[in-house]
Amino acid sequence: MSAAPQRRYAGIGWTVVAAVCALVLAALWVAPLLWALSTALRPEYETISPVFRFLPQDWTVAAFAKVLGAGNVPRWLFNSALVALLVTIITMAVSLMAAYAFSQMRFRGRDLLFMLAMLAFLLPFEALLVPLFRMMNQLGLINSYAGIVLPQVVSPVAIYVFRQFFDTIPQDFREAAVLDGASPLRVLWSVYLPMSGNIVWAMAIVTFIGAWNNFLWPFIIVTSGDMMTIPLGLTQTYDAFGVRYAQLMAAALLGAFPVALAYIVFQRRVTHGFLAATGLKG
Amino acid sequence: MNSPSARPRRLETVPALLLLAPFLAAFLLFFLIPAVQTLYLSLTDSSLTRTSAFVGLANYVTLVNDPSFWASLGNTFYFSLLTVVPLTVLGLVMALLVDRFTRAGPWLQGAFFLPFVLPISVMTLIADWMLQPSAGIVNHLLGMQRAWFADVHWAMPMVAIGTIWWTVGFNMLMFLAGLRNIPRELYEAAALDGARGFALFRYITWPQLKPVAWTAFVLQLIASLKIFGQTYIMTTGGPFNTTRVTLHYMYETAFTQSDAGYAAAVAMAFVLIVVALSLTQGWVARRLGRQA
Amino acid sequence: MIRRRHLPAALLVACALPALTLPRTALAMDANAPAVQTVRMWTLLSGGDGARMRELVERFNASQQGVRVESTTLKWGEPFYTKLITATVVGAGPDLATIHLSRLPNLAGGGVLRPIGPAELAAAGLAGADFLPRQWAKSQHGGATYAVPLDQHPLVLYYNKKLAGQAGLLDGAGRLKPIEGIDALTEAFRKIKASTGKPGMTMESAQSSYAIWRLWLSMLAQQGLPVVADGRFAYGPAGAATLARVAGWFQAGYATPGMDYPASTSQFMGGNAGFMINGVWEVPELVRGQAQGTLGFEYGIVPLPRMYRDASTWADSHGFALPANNDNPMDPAKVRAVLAFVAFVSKHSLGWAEGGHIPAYRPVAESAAFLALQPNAQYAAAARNVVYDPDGWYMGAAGPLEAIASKFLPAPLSGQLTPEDALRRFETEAVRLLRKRAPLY
Repeated sequence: MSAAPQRRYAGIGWTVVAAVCALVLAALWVAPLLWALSTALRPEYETISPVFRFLPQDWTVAAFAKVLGAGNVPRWLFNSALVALLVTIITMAVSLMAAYAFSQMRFRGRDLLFMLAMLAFLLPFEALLVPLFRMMNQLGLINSYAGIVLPQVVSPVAIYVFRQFFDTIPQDFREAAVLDGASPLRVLWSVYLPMSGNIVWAMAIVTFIGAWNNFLWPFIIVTSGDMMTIPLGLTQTYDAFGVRYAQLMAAALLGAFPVALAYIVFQRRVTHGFLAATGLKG
Repeated sequence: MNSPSARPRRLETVPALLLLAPFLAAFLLFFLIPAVQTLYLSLTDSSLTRTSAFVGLANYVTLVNDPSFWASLGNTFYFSLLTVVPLTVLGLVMALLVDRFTRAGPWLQGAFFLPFVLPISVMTLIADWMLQPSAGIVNHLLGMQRAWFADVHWAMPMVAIGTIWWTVGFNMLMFLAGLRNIPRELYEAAALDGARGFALFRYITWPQLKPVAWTAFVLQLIASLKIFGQTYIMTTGGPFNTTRVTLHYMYETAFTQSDAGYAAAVAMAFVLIVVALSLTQGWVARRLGRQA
Repeated sequence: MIRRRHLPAALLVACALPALTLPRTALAMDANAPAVQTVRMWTLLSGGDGARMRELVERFNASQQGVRVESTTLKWGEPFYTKLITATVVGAGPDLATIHLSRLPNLAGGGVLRPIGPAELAAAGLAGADFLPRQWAKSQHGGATYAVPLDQHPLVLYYNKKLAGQAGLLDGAGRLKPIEGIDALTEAFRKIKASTGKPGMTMESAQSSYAIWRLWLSMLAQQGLPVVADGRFAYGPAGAATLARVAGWFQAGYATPGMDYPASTSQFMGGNAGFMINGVWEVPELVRGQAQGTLGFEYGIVPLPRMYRDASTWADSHGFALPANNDNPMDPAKVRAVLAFVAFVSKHSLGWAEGGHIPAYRPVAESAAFLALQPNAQYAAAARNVVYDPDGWYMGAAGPLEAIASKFLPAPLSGQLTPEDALRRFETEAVRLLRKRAPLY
């Protein structure tokens, strides 16, 4: 017989305590989003009515309709999608190539360069705001998609993760390809990439979510309403909607929806990606 | 796993640099050059758009004597204090629960982790609404009319609570991975020896988790020092600067007061603190690793 | 898995990147480019003001063929000015911007604006004498004109006639009896509270609110005290005493503390406060509410009363300014086009006045039509007593000093800090600004 290893804490007492804890915590964690949904599904006067209700009395999707038709939220969703997509594609391309070079190629100063690249992880991006802002200004990239996207493609984490992974691939594959006369880029493309599917997907999704949620850099570089990404735009909503809470909650939920969906659909990959970034085995 | 017949390869400098070129270009343009410029800026008296006179360490002297700077550091550490310990403890508890209940596990995990993938403004908007003085659900449940974000004692704790809701999922994930990496044999051996329940946790689980716990703790600590969005959006640094964290102070100095030189000094001082903490973390982690 | 066939898409994206760096307006090329002058304007006017300006832009565009104005609205506040400054410095600023005249010393002194010569104004049919002297003076810096004033918008005292009547504050014609002196004003608030049970007055006082700064500045000016003089704070003990008077209204229950702007304004609009201290920009809401019958009470407006020695009232003004765009000096044809638009707006600023503003263009401000305009006529006298933010690079709307003031000055109103403490903290943080040289952008 082998005791089910999951039952580390035997005893019915602990189980009940654990179950209660789990329920309470789960309820607490889901409550804010559910409450936001409940607020978004009611007419405005109900949100500030002196009579408090947990569920709407007059269910309505008017708030969502208003927000979607307001002109800006759809535009912000589009901007976020475009920016996140561009950041992801470019970061993956740049990081894969760099990681391959660091992992599989020999050149002078490789380890030094790698350490320098990892240094970027240590230095908070926030410290570079002013020079970055000025540089973007001089280049004329303020308030442009390129301006929002480009500084985000430097990802030491992605390079680190990919390099770790490439290091584990047996050398035989590479040597066979090289013997066939393949250039490094070709080896990367036809040998390493196909084997890296999972990890690349994981990092891609994590990068996408990170780019979608990025607040600080877009906040600095975007100067007009129609170039804003969702996190930015939502914080401006007080101007757009005033104190109309149903619409505010609808806007918040619409902004959350794409990434929440990505998480639900790709839950395992997301988990994998975030864990890989911390260096832990998932 | 290197093939035993691998022979030393020639230097492939040029192809390597070609592959590295995009990264190097981005790294140079968007990290290295701005980093050097920040350092230089901090030694000058500059407005947001124009670099002016070189003033040596004058900005740093001002910094050391600036009560607003030290206050902002205090606020930042206060925020860290309010979040890092609860985040670590809660993350562990949640991981234990997810691990414990095999069938409900994925649902629990989803519930705890979902907020982490959401943009910051979703959290701040919902928090703002829930804590609204007259129509918010929190005040309704507590029977109060308190304006939480305008209250000197409650503003930062509320920002902390929102942050905990938002980010605990990440800690949970780390602990979960750590839990799943503990070899079963350890538990089976201990069970054979008669150990049960809490003893298992205390003598097997926790010692194995200590490195993960420490990593999680430090990652959260460093991340919490870097906050800007939550206080900027929820409290605008108020009431009267009591929630103004260092990065916010840096932003205000640079953009509102157009004092880019001083802001750069704040940034450099801040970086030093973060780097010092990271290095300390590495050192402690190695010591912990040696003890395990 | 990433497949080979994804490569073309990736390359396409990479090639499209440069296109994304194009400033958005470059893509909107006018078909008649050579014949029509396009004027790009940045404005921070939103809400009702935004709508009125848009309408003026459309009328101008429709009224002639040679010039087309394209207006972009940016968010009110520090971000607007930061964007204007940084864009102008690299020559990417707009052709025209609406600014607050209180920011003129900062912008003109920093090299962000381009002076407008008298000949250029004359070509558009404008002259300095056409504008009210206070506003015209406010548009000058270092001996040159940097803006064309559009309006002034002072602080005023709104009152609810129903509640005021119940408190016995109205005269036989249903108008507010004159209030003279700070004690009389306090008494008026008390009377409303006592006879109607509703707050005597309402004013935004949440953190980061500006009304208290404007009121405090007015009250100090009425005592003949400037906020800043000779690079130092010059109000003395009267600063705290004045702040204490206002805080007293909140503590005595004559006003509800901690309300933000929307909450305070809706308190008055909902008929739940006797007086409201706010700027004239709420007039359109009141006018509309009354016209639609949704207001529920009759309202009146008077200038801020004489509380001390005179009736000085804070105000700010909007003006049109030309960014310097150092790398791209504006050619004379464009200058003419820009000023043609400005002249058009000036001449048609009666419509602008419906936003509650007092026009700065004298032919309109002194016209019979404007003098008869209600409710503007009720407070037009305020124009004589207007005081602006003091001069200084750090002053002005959304400027650093106001930002610091908005952090600390509201605190005594909700009892979180004593007036002395609030002012002490304000001075500690603001003194750095006073000591700094004006920045060159």
